[in-house]
Amino acid sequence: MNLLAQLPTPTNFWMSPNGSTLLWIEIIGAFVLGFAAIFGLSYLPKNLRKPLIGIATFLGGLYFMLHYLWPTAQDYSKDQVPKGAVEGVSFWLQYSLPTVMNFNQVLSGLLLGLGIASLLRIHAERVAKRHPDWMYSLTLIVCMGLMAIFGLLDWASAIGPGQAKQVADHPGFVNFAYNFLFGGLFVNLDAVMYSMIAFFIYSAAYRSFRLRSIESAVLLGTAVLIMLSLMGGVMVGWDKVVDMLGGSGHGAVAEFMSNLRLGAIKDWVQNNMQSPSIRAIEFGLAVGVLAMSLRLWLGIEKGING
Amino acid sequence: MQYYDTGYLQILLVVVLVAFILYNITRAKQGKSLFIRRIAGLNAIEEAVGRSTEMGRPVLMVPGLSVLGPVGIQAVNIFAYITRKAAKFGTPIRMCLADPALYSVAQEIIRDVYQSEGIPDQYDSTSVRFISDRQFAFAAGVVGTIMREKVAACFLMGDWYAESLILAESANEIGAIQVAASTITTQTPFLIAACDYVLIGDEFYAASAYLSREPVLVGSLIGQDWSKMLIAGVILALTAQASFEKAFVQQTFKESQKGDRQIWTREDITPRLKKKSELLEFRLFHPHDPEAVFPKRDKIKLQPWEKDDTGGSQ
Repeated sequence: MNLLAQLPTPTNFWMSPNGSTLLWIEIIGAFVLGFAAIFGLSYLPKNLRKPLIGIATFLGGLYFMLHYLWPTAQDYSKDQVPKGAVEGVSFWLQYSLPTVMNFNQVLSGLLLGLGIASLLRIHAERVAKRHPDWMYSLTLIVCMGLMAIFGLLDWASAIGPGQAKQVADHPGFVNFAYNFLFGGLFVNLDAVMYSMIAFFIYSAAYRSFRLRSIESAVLLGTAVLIMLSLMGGVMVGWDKVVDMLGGSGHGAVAEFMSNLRLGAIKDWVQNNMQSPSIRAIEFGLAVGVLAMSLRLWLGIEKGING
Repeated sequence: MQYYDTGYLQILLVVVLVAFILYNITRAKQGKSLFIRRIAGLNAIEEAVGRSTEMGRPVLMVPGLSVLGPVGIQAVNIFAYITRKAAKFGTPIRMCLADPALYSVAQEIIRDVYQSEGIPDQYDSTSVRFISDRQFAFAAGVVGTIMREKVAACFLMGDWYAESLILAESANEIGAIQVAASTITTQTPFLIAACDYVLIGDEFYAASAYLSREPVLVGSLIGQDWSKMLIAGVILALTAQASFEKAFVQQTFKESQKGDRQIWTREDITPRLKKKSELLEFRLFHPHDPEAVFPKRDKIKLQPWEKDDTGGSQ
């Protein structure tokens, strides 16, 4: 089974030919270097570790900043030779991006392993010590194991590392098992959790819409109008009453009364009150993210504890 | 080679905002006294931890679905402050995470807090937990923790999506005091409905400066305020300018590209009010809209036959 068959066609330094000795040497070298870096960092004294992490963060940030700000050639293809330094950097930034993103994926995979280890440690301890509700922990461990095993076997039989295989006509036990676990159990349980939100909205809305002050009265009134505007029958009835009061024709009174149609009120509230408020909050958040990212990138983030 | 024209205004604006932030950090470092208004949600942290201590129940901290990024790091920074308060009173903590990378960082930070307080033995490695990276599996896991451990205080800060109300209402059900903050604006109303205190919008990012009064953070916060004032000023100025231009300024000519070389030409038209795409504000912020670009007439040298063909003046 060629595990590397799904790699794209190699064209440059970042991608050696598939299945070649050079690629294997690079992978093993990266693996060894990665683990050496992790162990090296964990044994380094704190005062040395901090600047090293700062430099790595700065370089990573610089790469992505350049990627966004450097002029990007639109009709770039991998066979072209760059003309000049600006185009050279632009080409380099474009063809190195998949590799840089792969660093991120490899790290995420490693850290997911740490997360799973934490989960297993907590729940295995509960099972071993017969903690109250230990059965739930056992269920979690069993489900996690089954999902991982059948997920991997299903992938190997249905898709595999190379091209997709045609197993739709002859699904085997592992395909049924995976479909049962994922489509039959997981997706439905996910939907159950999601649908519970409806009941939580009821209870939260009940508390929020109690008349306690002028502000809560305004909130209640606006909320009632918006809710009514979502009910087709009520909306039609309301608008008929408004039209009757405004009289027929296109006079000033009728024109004024058209502002009181339920749809018009809803649109006004959403466009003139809700959207500007949300945008104002989003501007603040965007500037906050900018400041936080800048501090992290330049290594001047102090944290609350210094 | 063709390059995508992204315009210069957006980049210029970001450069100005960055300059504001860095300038204010420098100002704060020089010892200038800078004012931060009171934020009720952050003052409630001590009250919530104190309540947990009195009841002998854990403090729960959840950064939602935040990944390892500015939001996640900020949430863990605030949680580290809460943990320090809890560690002083020997109050147990629980932190539930949905991102394995953030989990690893959070674990290190919380361990550091206990070490710096001189009580490393009180650190429980199972108090910081990775639950699941699937949204509702995560929600179910955290609700289980809330219900089983009957937490007395619940801090929900970070990126929240549909699971926010499930957690907030579950904590409300067991009477836990709740302080929340969401960087996802659609979830803020739900949190306001269900929680005792909510940090709205960038108050979440102001928390570090507010709690620590560290010059770098306070300066950065003032820089953020300057940036927001600039943005508000630009919006107001351009709204006034666009309203004036649309209501009072007449368009007397039309610009279009003609001929094989797509040369910009100008034709006189019957004066009329301007269209949206002809307003200065629209042209500044839409550099790639063909109707809104500023024609680069001066850079094109027309041949005599091209002048005759278009009939317009350059």
